[in-house]
Amino acid sequence: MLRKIAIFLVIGVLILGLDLTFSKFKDDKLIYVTEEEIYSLMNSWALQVGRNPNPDEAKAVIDNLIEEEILYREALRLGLDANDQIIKRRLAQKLMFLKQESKGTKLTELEISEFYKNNLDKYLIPAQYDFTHIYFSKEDEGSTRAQNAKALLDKSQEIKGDVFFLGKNFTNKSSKELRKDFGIDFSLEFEKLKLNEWSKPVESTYGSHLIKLVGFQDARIPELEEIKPRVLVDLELARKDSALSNYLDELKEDYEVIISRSLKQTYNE
Amino acid sequence: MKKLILLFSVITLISCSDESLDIVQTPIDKVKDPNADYNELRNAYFGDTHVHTKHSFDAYLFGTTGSPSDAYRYARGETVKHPAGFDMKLVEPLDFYMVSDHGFFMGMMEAYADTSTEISNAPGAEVFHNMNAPENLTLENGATRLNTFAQTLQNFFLNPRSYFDPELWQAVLTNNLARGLKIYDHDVHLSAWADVVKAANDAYDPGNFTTFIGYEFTTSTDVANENLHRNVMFKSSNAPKRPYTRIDSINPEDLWTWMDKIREQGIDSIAFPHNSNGSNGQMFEMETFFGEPLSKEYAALRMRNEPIVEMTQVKGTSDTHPLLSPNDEWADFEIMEARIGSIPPAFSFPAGGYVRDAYIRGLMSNQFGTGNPYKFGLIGASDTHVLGAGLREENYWSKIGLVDADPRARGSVPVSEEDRDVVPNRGGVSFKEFDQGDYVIGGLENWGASGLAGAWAEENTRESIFNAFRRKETFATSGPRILVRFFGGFDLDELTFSDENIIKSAYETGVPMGGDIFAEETDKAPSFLVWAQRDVNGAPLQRVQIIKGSISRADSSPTEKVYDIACSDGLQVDPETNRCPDNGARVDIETCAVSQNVGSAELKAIWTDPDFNKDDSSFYYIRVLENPTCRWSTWDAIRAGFKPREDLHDTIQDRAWSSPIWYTPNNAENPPPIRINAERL
Repeated sequence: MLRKIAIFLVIGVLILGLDLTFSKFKDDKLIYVTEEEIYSLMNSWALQVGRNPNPDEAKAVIDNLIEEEILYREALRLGLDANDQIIKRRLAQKLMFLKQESKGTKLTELEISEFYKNNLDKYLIPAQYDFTHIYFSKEDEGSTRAQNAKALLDKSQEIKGDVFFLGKNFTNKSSKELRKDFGIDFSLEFEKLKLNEWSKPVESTYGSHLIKLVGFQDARIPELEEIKPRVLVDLELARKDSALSNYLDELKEDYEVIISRSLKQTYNE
Repeated sequence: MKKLILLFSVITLISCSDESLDIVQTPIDKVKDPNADYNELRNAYFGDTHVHTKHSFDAYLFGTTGSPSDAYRYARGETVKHPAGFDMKLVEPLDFYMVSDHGFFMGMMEAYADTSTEISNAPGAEVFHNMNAPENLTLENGATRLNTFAQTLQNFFLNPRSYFDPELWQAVLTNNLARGLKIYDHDVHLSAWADVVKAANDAYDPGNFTTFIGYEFTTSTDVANENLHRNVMFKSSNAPKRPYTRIDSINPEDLWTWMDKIREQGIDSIAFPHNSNGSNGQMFEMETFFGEPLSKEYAALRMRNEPIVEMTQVKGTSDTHPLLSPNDEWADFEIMEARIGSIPPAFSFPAGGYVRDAYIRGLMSNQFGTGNPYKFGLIGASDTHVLGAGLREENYWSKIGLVDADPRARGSVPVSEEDRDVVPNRGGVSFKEFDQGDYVIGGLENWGASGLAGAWAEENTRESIFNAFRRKETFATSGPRILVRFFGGFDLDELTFSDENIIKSAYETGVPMGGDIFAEETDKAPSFLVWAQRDVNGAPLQRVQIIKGSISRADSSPTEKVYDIACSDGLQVDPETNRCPDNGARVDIETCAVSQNVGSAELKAIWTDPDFNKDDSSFYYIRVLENPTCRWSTWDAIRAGFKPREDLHDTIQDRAWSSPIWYTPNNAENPPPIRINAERL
């Protein structure tokens, strides 16, 4: 048993040694140009110039790529990337970009439904009403005329009001729209109306109205499936805002920041 | 031969690769909300089509960090933050909205401020580093912002790239001069524009909330930098890869030609100029950009692309000027007399800068056979630079963020000696002593809480609202949501307001606002149907007026007349003076309380022109006046414990203007005989 372990260790060390030697060589001195790389280079060349490169040109493009790679590696070997402000910024920028973009692309069903549940009030569909009305303009003693008309209406007599700017019959009018179009007091009265019955006069910004409610839908929260596209947009937006700050917060926990003492002193003074 | 091939390939390169002509297809599959309204007699929708976000170089400088998506959230009624830290929220959501960031340098300022970007190392960018980091967003800091803005912008253009820089050659090859500037990062610009497009498409909710892809073409004359700004609005969800900006050309005629070109590719758009009041008379000149005479071709090009004008906004109202309309008692309304961007403020010559005058000029041009380039409809918009506008007098935050967030900085409240640092120290600001102390003077005190666009459209969708703009079936308001119907025709006098189908009949027998009526065989004068309704959250209405302008067929002399046609509180128009009696509405300047039970909820009239001459080209448009209320500057003052500043109006009569209806006589385009004085020859 012991021998087996010993052999295993020896062979293991050997393989490790070999791998280290060769991989160092591989990393350092081997440049492998993939087909995809060449393909995309040729494509962008063609896009810029408007035709495919001839063999000489193709060779030049590939030579360029190789030279760039060699220079890049030599620069790394010489440690030119360390403490370079431009490179730092560029890398930080790249990561920031990735962090902002990548998360948005793979939203799970669970995340979507969680977000939807946490923001239900945002998706509330207010109550909607179908109604007709008889309008009596404020400009012409509307409230008195409306009272009289209501009395006649109760005796099933024909009555006639004024023509209303926004029309006579309304469907799917939400309480929000009523507030916007008739005023807040008018919109609040709708909760008290009875179906298919003429109301007593209801005051709006414009005058008095006798209203007959012919249909309504209570306020409701739509099912996720109904409004999924909207939830997705909202979630993506929320994600984008929070992704970067979350990521930064996470990272900050791992870092200890020491500020040069002399600098601290200058700042404090 | 080889040279020839080279030449050809260069030419193809130049002609093929202009990204402003590349259309990016971003189709959206959104279905109209099945519960939403459709009305063949059209609904009035209100919106703001002039909104700046962080992508505008100046808005970012003013402290705005919100994105186009944030702007659309504001329009739908959500709360967003002003750069100075307070909440902004609409009383009622809007129906449509368009983010219109400045095309040139779009997105660049944010990239300069972010020190991790490559472009922030470019020469000239360092002054913007970390500009909008939270610790720098202070009112005191607002003071230096305008200065930075004015000084650095011109330096940008003095720093072209070197001949060895491939970007310079990209600039030449892709017909995009901006890329040749050291301070310009093309990728940053493209991604900002892509964000504008995506935000508009994401926020579009057909049936409930319409957004438009748009931007501002911020140009000016090369003579004295006179304002020729206009916004471009796209109809579909697809847009060009980059906006055509003033770096491409400062000539608006080139913009229209570009719009024609992309229209051929299926991308319809319209433009609307703004702040003609500050253009020193250049917006509606009687000549072209290069001083050539007007022509039918020019008129057609302009009208095809600019059927609308934004006639009121924060930087003043361009209906008319008291010098142009001395007989209009309501002409002195939110007049802003400074040329746009002039530091210190220079007087803007009124003629050629106001829409009423432009309509007259258009008729004049047409009479002389060179077409009518000024036959446009009207909208209002805000031009806010902080995502959303404060359009209510009692809750006004002006428009340039940190620079004018403080009432002292906008001249409504005196500034003590110690607090001078809240005031932007730009070249144009000076102080003037009044009874209550020193006030800032120099422009911001003449800005106002305006305006909104109204559109009569069948439904709240891009197509429907865009088509309303195209038809000019639009109206402007100075902030409140006053509704106004307006029809013209020769048989409208037969309609009655007791008829439930009056609007349907009006569409059948007449034309709506923005339309044309033509000479009839009879001598009958045209009639106009007007119906206005107050804003639930605004003041009651005081009167409705028709403004008529015409050109005499006999001697080409212009006339202009204002008729009151409906009065509040059951009052009658005096037929001698064409004026309503005073309805007695007053404002208590100490508290801003207004008279109760004065004014009307709706006003309507069918009016027949008493001064009609069938030979004279004419236009008619509506002006609806609210009862007076406190102006924003009065609200600012009383809140701070002061009286209103003496040289400003205490009160304001907010109002709405319809697009005109034009009357065209027979042979209107034949020039009248030119009489040559033989003795003079």
